[in-house]
Amino acid sequence: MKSIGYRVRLVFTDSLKILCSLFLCLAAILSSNLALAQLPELDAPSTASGNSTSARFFGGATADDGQNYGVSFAPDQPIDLHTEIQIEPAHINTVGNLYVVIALAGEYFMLTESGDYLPWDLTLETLEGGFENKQLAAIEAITVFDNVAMGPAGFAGTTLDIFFAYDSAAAPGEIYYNGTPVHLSIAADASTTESFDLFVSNVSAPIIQARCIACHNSTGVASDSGLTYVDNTQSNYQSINYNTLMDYIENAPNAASLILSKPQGITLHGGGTQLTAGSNDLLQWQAFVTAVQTEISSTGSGGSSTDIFALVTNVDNEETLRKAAILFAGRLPTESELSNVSSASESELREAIRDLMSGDGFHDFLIEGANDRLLTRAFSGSVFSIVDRNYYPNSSKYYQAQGNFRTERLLTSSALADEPLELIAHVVMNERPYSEVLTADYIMVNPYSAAIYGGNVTFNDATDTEEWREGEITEYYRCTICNPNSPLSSWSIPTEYPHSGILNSPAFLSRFPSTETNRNRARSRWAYYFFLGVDIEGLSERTTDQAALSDENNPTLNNENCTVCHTTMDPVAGAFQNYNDDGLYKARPGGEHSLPGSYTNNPFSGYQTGDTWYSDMLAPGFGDALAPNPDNSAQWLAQEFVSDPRFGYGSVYFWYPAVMGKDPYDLPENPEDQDYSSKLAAYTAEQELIQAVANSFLSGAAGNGSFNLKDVLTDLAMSDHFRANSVVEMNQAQEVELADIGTGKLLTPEQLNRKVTDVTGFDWNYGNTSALTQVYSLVYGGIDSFGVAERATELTTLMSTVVTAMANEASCSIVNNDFSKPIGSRKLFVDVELSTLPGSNASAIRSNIQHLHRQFLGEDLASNDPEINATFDLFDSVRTARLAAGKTQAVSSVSELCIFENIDNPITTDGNQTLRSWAAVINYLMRDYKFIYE
Amino acid sequence: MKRREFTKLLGMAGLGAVAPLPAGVASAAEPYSGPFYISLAAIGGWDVTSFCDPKMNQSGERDINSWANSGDIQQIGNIPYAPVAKNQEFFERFYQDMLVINGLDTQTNSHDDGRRHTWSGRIGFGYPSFGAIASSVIAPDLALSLVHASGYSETAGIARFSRLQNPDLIANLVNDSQVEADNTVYGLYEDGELDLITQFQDARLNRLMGSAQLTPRQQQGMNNLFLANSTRDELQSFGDLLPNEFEADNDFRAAQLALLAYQSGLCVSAQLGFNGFDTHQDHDEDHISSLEKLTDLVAFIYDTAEAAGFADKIVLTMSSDFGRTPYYNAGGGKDHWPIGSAILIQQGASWGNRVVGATNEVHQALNINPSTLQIDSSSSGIRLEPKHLQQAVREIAGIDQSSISQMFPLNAESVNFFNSSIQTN
Repeated sequence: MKSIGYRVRLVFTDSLKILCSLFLCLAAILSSNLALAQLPELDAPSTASGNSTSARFFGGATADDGQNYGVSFAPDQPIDLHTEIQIEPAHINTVGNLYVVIALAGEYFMLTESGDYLPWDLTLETLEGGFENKQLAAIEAITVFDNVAMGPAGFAGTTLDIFFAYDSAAAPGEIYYNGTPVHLSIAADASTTESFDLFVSNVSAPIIQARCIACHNSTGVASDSGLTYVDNTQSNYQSINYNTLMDYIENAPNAASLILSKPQGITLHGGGTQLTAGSNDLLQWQAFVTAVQTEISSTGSGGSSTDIFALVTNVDNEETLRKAAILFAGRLPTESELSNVSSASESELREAIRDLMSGDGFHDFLIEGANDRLLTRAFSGSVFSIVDRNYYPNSSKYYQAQGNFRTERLLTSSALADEPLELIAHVVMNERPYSEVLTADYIMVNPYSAAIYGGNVTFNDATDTEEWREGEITEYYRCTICNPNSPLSSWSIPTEYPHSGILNSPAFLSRFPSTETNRNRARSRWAYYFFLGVDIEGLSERTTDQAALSDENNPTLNNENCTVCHTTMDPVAGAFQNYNDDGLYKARPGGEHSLPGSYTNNPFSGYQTGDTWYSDMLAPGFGDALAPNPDNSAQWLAQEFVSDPRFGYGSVYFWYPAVMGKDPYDLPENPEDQDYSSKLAAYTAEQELIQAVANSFLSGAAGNGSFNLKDVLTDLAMSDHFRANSVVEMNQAQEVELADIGTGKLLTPEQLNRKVTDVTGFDWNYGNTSALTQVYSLVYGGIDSFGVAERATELTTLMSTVVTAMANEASCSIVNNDFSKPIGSRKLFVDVELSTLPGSNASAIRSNIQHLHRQFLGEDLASNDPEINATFDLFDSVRTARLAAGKTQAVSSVSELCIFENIDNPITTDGNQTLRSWAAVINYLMRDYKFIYE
Repeated sequence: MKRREFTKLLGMAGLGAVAPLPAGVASAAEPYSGPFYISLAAIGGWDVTSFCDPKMNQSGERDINSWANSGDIQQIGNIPYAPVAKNQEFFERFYQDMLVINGLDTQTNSHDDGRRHTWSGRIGFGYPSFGAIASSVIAPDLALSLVHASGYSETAGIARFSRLQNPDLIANLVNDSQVEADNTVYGLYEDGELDLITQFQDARLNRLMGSAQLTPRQQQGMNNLFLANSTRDELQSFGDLLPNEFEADNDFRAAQLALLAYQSGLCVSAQLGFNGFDTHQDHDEDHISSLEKLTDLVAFIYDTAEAAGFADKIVLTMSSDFGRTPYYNAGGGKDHWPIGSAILIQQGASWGNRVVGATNEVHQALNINPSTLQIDSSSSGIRLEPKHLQQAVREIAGIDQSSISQMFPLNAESVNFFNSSIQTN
């Protein structure tokens, strides 16, 4: 074995030659009698042609001379890597070549006969053998490494995948290889890691030594915390403290979360708040923890967060645009839009995606995405779930409304429920700073909700539910005597409603109500979650001792088991002080506050005249800041929220599911979990994306101003997480890391409905009722925003019946509708007429099938592609069968109903039997994976 | 509509590689008739001191229960219960088939954490419900293997759950090749043509699934579609059982549909439950009402199953996020309390009529010896936690040693829950 130098870390950045020198002469072909009995067999033996093979492949790395084989190794652990090929019997004793290829950080290197490893471009034409023109034995064994410590060789913190292969003169052009590579993961070397560098430069002195060590030392008050440090008088103190932190983060339950939340005082911390929000020290601390998480993940079974996409190929520009168009615009991209991006740069693609963000489709995307979070559409059918007829007297006409008036009431309730969603849409579509969703000093109204709220808004069409304008609540009246059963009751105090965007939107407050004992805490929790991305419950260590809860001394203010959440939650709850349990503003008699009678009338409660909040709770505020004026504390809170650095993260977090079709991962908490490292790598990669997008959002890096949500949506759509489309040779760890990432999202009922309409020009409706978005919405995984508040993302058997019902019911109508139009006006049948037959003009039929595959499935296929052949065969088979069965000319019958509803001039006869044959094709395409997933 | 030839396709698509079937479990073509596992969640945190772990008021302490000022704890067999709601009716009917687990420490007063802890056995994220594990181990490819209506729904990617909401729509969708108008049933396609479309669709999906470059998400989506295509016809047996009238109450209707799903041979486990237990105000009135509904629902489940002849197949687990404080707040409500209970019911179970676990007079959990089940304050004693509950239900189902269960280890001490000769005294 050739000796290995110790500066090989340069390999990754500086010199392939050094990489080559590392592997030089390491790969040695061995005689077949090497004792490799326990060498693991590798799954999926493969061939270049895709044909099956009886060859078998074995391989593994070992640190104990073959007694055990493993995947993860310490950087200083000398290892051997053995491989073995059982050659197909027909190839034994023929002349062939042996190949070794190593995948490293997304690049591939092939072993050459000279012993060098050279870059390989993955084409067979350029692949060189490591051992050429040899007579193949029944078993060919290759030792790739022999007693090599990979850390000193510069491979600490990396993963390698090793492939090996052979070919034979008996099968020219074919190559036989291990479909599943030998995977090797080398732990990070602390002395060279990013986290150690960050620790030394940014953490050790300003944080550990200056803030933590006073308590966190072997005799300090935090000596039993699991985190004790040594001071800077001790030699090697930085390494000792660094290793302490590494060990804690890697092994303590929920450690990464705790270690971030405790110093901020979000989670119970005996030392209180040490790192304040937005401070540089906190940012450095977060960067350090993130780096540690990344490195921990890379030492386990998975790759690091930075290379989980190493084996992934993204969709190209055109496919990216198609998927973005379906998502953001609810339509397919136009031909010119596609051609404009076919060879566009990344920045040009970004602009093209951003340009999709307008019109009704984008409006629908925003409304649905916002409602999936805020869920205010739960009250779309119930005016009085949002407003009270006494405080909002204009609503009283809908009380027990009858007959046609009921329709108007429904339109009104829908307008009230959509109001916060429309505010978001208004802000985003007009490219106003997204912070305005909280700071808006107006409320969005359409003619129906304006009739309730007032606001002196003028509309172009008083019946247009889509005409939304900025308004104000002017028709809200507080009460002097608030008992509706009293003859003296009076709601007559005019109100200047202090709008603060969503925070005091009547729909939002109603959807997240409070109780006399909850005291707006639920609103606080959800405000934190929706707008700062902070899940107070999730961030906190929730283990609770039963004895602690027996505390009678105002525990939420004094008991550390309770204050862990309440110090964060209660001030913000107080900032909602002017809104009662139902969301009504200053609802108590006299209109001065909203405190309940059970509190104000209790002589022992501590209430004093003039109070607007509970005296036994923390004062209204946010963090350490107090709300200066009780009259406008919600408005003040809105300003505090949007000034908080977490507002950027919260905004991206809010919109992430709408773009990616999945919720962000939860932080993996238990290192002992199966696939922990891979899950952590996936989580970290996702968090890095969210944080990076958030940073751009805050800084306005895209050049469209700060807080521009279109840039957030564009950034997400440009990401690997959105575009990942194919992957080669995953190992188990990578399967976990890439789970739920990239293309292949099940379309929601609303998205599928828009796609059907745009692709086919036909609405699948029952009368005026949409089959997908109304009748079958819940069955197909949709939400009602109330009892069912989470979308189903996994297709079930029952859900699939909606797809087949759609295909069976709509396909003939779609074909009929399209053929009923002049060919120049059609969406689907642009190359054929019903008289175009396979026998006389098969090329036209094939051409049209190509068009259908493009439109329905996003496939751009050659006319002789197997998929085009299959679809052609279906068309031809159906037609042949119909002719053979002597089918009549009638397009529709009791046994083969073609529904003509919604078709202006339906075709009723088809002597060539082509209409229903095309219907079968459309039916087939509508059931397809690529039609219902994107 | 003709039944499609799916058996061949199951082999062609390599479904076994996605969801390997343990030996002896049902296949897609075989109706399931084994035990039916129902998880019934009292969502919001139930007050077990007014149910299966009754408490009297203590002198010098705040009142635990208003009813204790005028009533006494009742007992049937070995099982004490509170004299409120319809408890007497419930316990008298089921006590012989019932194991009560008291002193269950969920270690939290957070709803999310408590729900997750109770129903997965771990307070942290990421573990699936028992129902998901059971359906995944026993019959993952049944059309309605896991039915979810309410409560904890995490599947951790090992199962898909079906929601059964509107029975009328389901009945329509099961007949996806027909429509009805003006009292006439119309076919949309003739059977032979649909068979042809289906054959081409299946072949196409197999080609797509044959790609070596699919991402995990694509693989999962295609597998889901494949499984749906393979089992869609089986829904007919469910559709055939749907009656003309359904329970008016949403939660009872959900139970009714889940029972029909089992009866049709398509369902292994169901997750049911309802809100109404988070009574921070007016506890006595509101909580008693919810307890009545809870016991009525259990009675309905068994009445329905007995009428259909499979009551002996039901294995029912009742529990909640946690318990409620052993005292009232200023609004007459009770707040969150980490100590709760669980009840397991199975007809004819040898382990019935027993109580395991204990709390003291002010409803604080006591340690028990896991072997003798007696209260044990020594180092040998353990506090019962949801991991012990989940370990118990895995054992009842015989899936605790399955590879899927072992993907989600509970690390729970072995507790002698099913030794019929001992209980906690």
